[in-house]
Amino acid sequence: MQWWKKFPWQRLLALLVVLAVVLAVAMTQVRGDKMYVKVDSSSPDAVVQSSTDFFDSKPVGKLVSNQPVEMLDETDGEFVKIRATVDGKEVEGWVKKIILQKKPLENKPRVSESGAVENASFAAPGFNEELENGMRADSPEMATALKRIDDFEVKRGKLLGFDAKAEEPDMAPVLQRYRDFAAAGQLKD
Amino acid sequence: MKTNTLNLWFTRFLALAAVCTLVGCSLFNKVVESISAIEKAQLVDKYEPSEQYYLGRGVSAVILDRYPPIEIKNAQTERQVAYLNDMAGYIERASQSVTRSALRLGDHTERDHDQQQQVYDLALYKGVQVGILDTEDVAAHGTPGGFLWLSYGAIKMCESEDELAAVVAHEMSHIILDHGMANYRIAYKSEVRNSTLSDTWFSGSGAVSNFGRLCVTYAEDAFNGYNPEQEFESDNWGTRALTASGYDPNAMVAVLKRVEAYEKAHDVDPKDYLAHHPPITERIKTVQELIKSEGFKVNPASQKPEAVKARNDRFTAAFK
Repeated sequence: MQWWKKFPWQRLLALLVVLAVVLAVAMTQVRGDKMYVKVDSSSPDAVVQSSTDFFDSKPVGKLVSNQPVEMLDETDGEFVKIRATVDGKEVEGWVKKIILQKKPLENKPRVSESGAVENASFAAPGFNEELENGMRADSPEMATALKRIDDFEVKRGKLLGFDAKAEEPDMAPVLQRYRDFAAAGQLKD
Repeated sequence: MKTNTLNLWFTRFLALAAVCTLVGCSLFNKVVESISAIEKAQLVDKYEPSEQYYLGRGVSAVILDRYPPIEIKNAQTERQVAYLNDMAGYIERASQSVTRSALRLGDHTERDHDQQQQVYDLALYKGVQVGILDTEDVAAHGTPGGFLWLSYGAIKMCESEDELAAVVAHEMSHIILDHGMANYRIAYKSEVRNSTLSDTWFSGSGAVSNFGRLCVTYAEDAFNGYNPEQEFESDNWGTRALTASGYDPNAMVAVLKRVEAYEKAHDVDPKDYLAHHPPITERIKTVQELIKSEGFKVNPASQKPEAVKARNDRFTAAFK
């Protein structure tokens, strides 16, 4: 009997079908990978752009910190194309690759108060608003100095056209300022 | 006889199994310990942008205690702050594709794979924020999280917008290339230095005081400036960023020459900020060679007389 008559074609076919299904699922996974936004909504980088050309792009939405976004299978230099839900609507556009990370933000102290790693400098991860408020309470000097930073951030925001105290400020006008600055200085190629 | 031999081999096998189990357990424990240590190290080495931002606020607070910021109280100061922030925001955006690789930036600094990856991944939580220090001293400080503080002295040293852009690009690179955090990781991992200021501001124990002392230590170190290798790297990145933004790359050379003249004229104190920078003639030479070897070209459109005038008019209106 010839060998091909003995060969388990049916098993091979079944194996190929399984492989194809696995591959298809894997490809879908890659295309639809979920990433999280690691910058604040008051960062100009949180604005989703219609294209990667700084001068020609238009804002299509804004992201907030820790928001999940879906990665689409397109990159252009430092930018990636994403799909995200903004104000209840689904938008697609471009953001900088570096503003996204695979895991959600922890946003909490990662060492115990006594210093689980037993020294002060290790305490840096976990630095957040709560600890900053603790520093204000502990040190009047630090409280005064931090107040200066607060004032500076608020006034700077006002000058650039956004409310630094708002939870989700609109940063699109700030990007437009940068474009206008470049255009007025004739810096654009 | 045959049974005895079998028993002997069985006993040997059991003994070997026991030894292997013991050694295996010990090795396993060591592996677990090592993984745990690595994870812990990664835990404390990896800073999220929000953490860098809050650290930057703390460090900035100490900087502003030493050099008070200008009060944004009238049209002129508003114009100055808005102008500087527009410039820095634009340069940051335009230099997006400028390399962050230590090797490609002249191989001045050493970063292992993880450190380099951190630099590649570095994002600023709220973008770049530029403030002005109300002092005629020549001082500029970039902190983690995107804060950039320029003194009136440093700004007024510049004679054109392109030169000011060179200062901004250079300082911004210290933030983008994670120089401050890199120094912190190396020098302060084991202890936070006690100083009069840190003891005055924070005398207690616990996480809050630890954070406070860390901010003070970090700021006091920042007053001394970065190390020479990092300065060379920042000159390199800054020159590339200037070119990418349409400014004249030779402005970096021009501003370094102004620093050289300032150092000569002011007989810089060894404790002063500028005294910790590498020899200025060496930096000028290195930037000139970079411009030549990389073939950085001046953007013809931005160097037309009317374009230069437009930029210098707004620079003069803000600061002269």
